Amino acid sequence: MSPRSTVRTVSRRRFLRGVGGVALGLPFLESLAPRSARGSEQLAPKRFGVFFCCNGVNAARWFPTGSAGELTPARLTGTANEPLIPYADKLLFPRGVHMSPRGYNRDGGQADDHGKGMAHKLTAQFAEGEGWLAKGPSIDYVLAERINPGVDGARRPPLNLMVGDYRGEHGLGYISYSGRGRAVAAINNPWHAYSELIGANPAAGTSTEAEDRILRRRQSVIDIVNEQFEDLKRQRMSGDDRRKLEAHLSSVRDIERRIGETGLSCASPGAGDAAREYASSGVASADEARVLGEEAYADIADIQLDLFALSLACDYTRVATMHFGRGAGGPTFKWSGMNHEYNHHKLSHGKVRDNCFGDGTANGCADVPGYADMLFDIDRWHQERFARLLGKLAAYVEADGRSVLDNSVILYTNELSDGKAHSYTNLPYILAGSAGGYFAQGQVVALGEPANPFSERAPHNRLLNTLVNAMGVESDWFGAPEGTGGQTMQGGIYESLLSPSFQG
Amino acid sequence: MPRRASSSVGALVLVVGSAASGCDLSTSSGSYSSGPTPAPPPTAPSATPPVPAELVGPTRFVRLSHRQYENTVRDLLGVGEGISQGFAPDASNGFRFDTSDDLRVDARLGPQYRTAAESVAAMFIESEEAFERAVECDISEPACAAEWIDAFGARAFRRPLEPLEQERFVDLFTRGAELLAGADAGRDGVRLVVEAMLQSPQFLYRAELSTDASKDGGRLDAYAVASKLSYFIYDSLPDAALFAAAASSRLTDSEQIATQVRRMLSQPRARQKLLDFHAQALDFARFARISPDPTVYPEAPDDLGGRARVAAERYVAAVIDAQGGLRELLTAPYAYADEALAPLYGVTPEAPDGDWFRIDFASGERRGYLMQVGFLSANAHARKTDPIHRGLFVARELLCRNIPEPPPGATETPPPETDQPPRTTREETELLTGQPACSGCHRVINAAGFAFEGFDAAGRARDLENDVPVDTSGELEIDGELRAFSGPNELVELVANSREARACYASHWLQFALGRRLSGADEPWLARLAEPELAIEELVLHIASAPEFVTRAPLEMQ
Repeated sequence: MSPRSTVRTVSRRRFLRGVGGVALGLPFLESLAPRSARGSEQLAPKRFGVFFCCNGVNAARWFPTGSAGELTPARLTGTANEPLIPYADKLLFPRGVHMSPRGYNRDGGQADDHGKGMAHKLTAQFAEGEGWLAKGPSIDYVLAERINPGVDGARRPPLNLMVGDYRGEHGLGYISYSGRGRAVAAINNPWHAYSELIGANPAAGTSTEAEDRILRRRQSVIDIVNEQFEDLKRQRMSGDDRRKLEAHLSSVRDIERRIGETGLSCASPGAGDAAREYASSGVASADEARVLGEEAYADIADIQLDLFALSLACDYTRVATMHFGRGAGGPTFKWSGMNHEYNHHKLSHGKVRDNCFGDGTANGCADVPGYADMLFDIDRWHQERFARLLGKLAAYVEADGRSVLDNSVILYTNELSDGKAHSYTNLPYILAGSAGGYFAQGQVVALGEPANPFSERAPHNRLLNTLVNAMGVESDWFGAPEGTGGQTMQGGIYESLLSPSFQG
Repeated sequence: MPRRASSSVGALVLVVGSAASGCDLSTSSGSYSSGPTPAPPPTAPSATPPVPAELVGPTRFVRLSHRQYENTVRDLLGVGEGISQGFAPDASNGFRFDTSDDLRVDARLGPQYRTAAESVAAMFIESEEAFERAVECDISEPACAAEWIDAFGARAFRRPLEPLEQERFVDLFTRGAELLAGADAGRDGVRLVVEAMLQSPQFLYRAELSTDASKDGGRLDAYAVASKLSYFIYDSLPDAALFAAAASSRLTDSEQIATQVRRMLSQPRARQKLLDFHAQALDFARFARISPDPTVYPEAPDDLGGRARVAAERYVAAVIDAQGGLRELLTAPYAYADEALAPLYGVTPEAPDGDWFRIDFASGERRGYLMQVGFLSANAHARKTDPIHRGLFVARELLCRNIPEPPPGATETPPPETDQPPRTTREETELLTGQPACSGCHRVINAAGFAFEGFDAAGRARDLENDVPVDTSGELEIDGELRAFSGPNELVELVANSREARACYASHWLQFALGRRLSGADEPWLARLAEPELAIEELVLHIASAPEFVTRAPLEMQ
């Protein structure tokens, strides 16, 4: 094979048509796992995922029926979560959790209810500034820095995917933060996401001789780049600048470390099938207008979720998020039997305009008849996507005989609970997968006051802290430091969510 | 160094604003200097690292923005259009312009830089046109190779290569045949060198170095000055004349720099940067939200937002061409329209379909940016005007007043019951915002917003709303004085002639140029830019030729 074609990644057009995807995409996707993942380290690492929806839910028809106890399929029948019935024995519904720091401006901080819903949900930190950006890192960044492939100080960041547009007013398009005020834009273009995954091993699938030459060439180039870095580091500079350059250099080292990792197989044999299915459904467009538009929204969501599953299965990352954009916005659903006239946010308020609140009809705030059913259809569509993701993860069997889903915990979370009221109590949460046996399964657990899911006894920062511990990272507290205004925040973990063998 | 990225400059602008607005500043937004944050309890290990005291400090190593990366690759190699599109978007840190100096390379972007460098290097050697334009001698000759490495390296790093670097890259070049085994060893060498240089920090960062702060007072060397000017005005590497000026030490005093800046401002790419500034400072992005209800505004064309953007760009360009400044932006008696926009101005199209033309308002019926269809319809609801957002723009974006977000619950509170329902948008807005919790800020916001009530949600002029004459009069505290105005023309005159607005506009320019928020240390500089009034190009010239611009920020050394 000529050197020219070995450095080329899959062309956009071939990706789009799904033609070259079979020929070129497959070997790449099958070869994502670093060698080390199969050898010296533990056989099946724990993974953490986030499935994030916006604008709240139709809360009357979302939760399992009845109160705490075993989650039978019947309890999901007729709810928006009905599509999850095949996985009922892998699910855990924590009930009565509220956001903390709280909404409705009870604990202060900048941002309106939507801004808080977006900024607080994965960070449990206050929002600040005109950008309404969170004051600290989100759980995906906290965990990736501890558990992702790489070495300390140079671990891979989480894979943050989304469908829709992250741009717009304030921080309503962001859920992830690498640090204070550092909102991370999720990848909304599946081509870019795909490129990132295969970019790890662009040499795979070429001849041994060409492959060897590419490796030596890359090593030679990186040697020079390293020397150029050393030159620069001899300059006097501030600590901030030194840290900035060190972080850059560690990404170069990450490239270097992975140079030799070509031609390996995914640890999970099922991933090959997934890649095949994915390649044949590779209809996404890399065209920005299509990515930001709504016509391909449903297709892009599915492709992103497939990449989400593959990235965890192949140990490209152990932390991934998927976010349906965006708070106080979202698409107008015109697919899967829906043919709405108004976008998700308007329907969440049951109004024909975005800036309406409550029940009044002044200022052109006319009601949308039947909006509650439309919301239910939207919720159900999201849960079908969630089921699709769980199905993929459950199908991959790992070296320890368990599925990727069993070794993971995927958190369903939403910006709000009842969208119309902008409510921050009684949040819809699902934990799918046991994180390697850590969490109880097939249960509904009342964490607040069993009789009152709207109580403020069970803050979400403690749920995030429980999830951190579930991944093997010891922590007593998550989110805004005590005493900074999060009046209902708590440390510790929710023991009642743990499987019997893990309970104290 | 100032440890708080706070708003002492803000103080210059905002204190005036606070006195004038009566807005309670205790809940001020926009500042990150909320003071030290209590640490978590010492006994509890926390998964959340401690909050840094400060978000952004002055840096000596400014990473190229994605746009700058792409422009620089294009100017260096003549290939690579769209190469930056797949780069991980930079984290948003709330800075209002896209020129932030606080850009990082994380584990995601690092590999993308490698992929991009490999791609453009391959494209470059495969494109006969690009390759032959950039490599003029026979690259298989060692002398030619060394010459090309020197020339290309000096442009890629924006300074001549050090002897050690030269050796390094020549050595890499000679390994081309071995490492690439292509048809042409010379091209293989070129490809390797391009790959390595484009991944080097000297390419990816603009370094603000001074040789010895104790001797040169922290003044940047000539090449760093050339780069800083070039990325400020061109968003790309220095052109040949600027490199030549740096090489011959003709960038050492303000006069020499000013000569270069004047020359650069006459180039088309400088115009693009001036437009980029205004697109951000005047929030052209808001045009995308324009959606007047066609049943109420049948004259409003399809894609009004897209047309409004073109019209605004043409208007700003015309103001720049006329050597105008902030005053002209706010008061020039003309606007641009195509066939579809013209009816909203009550004008019969003068030009064939698709052409743009200038409408002169000879009798002063409209003046300046705020009375053009774009601004008026972008700050409107679908069926009525939105005086709150029109006024908020004047207060926040033109006067830099610190207007906090509405207090909790404010937007959810229904207006008080009245015997006589409001007849106009102005009356309705007054009723809604007249409550004590709102009126402090809304006194300022509403006054500025109501001045434009003579223009409806599609930007058409009107005398009546619901058969009631519109009231566009009001009073506004500006430069510390309460001033009455009878309508929009008097309001924009007041704003355009105020020191407050000049300081605000200059502070936006300075932030845009420096890529950071301002601090107290910038105040004297800002004061010089605000007085006397400067044309837009003069303002750029003053910023770029100021001693502060070419002196690196004093930093703690470690």
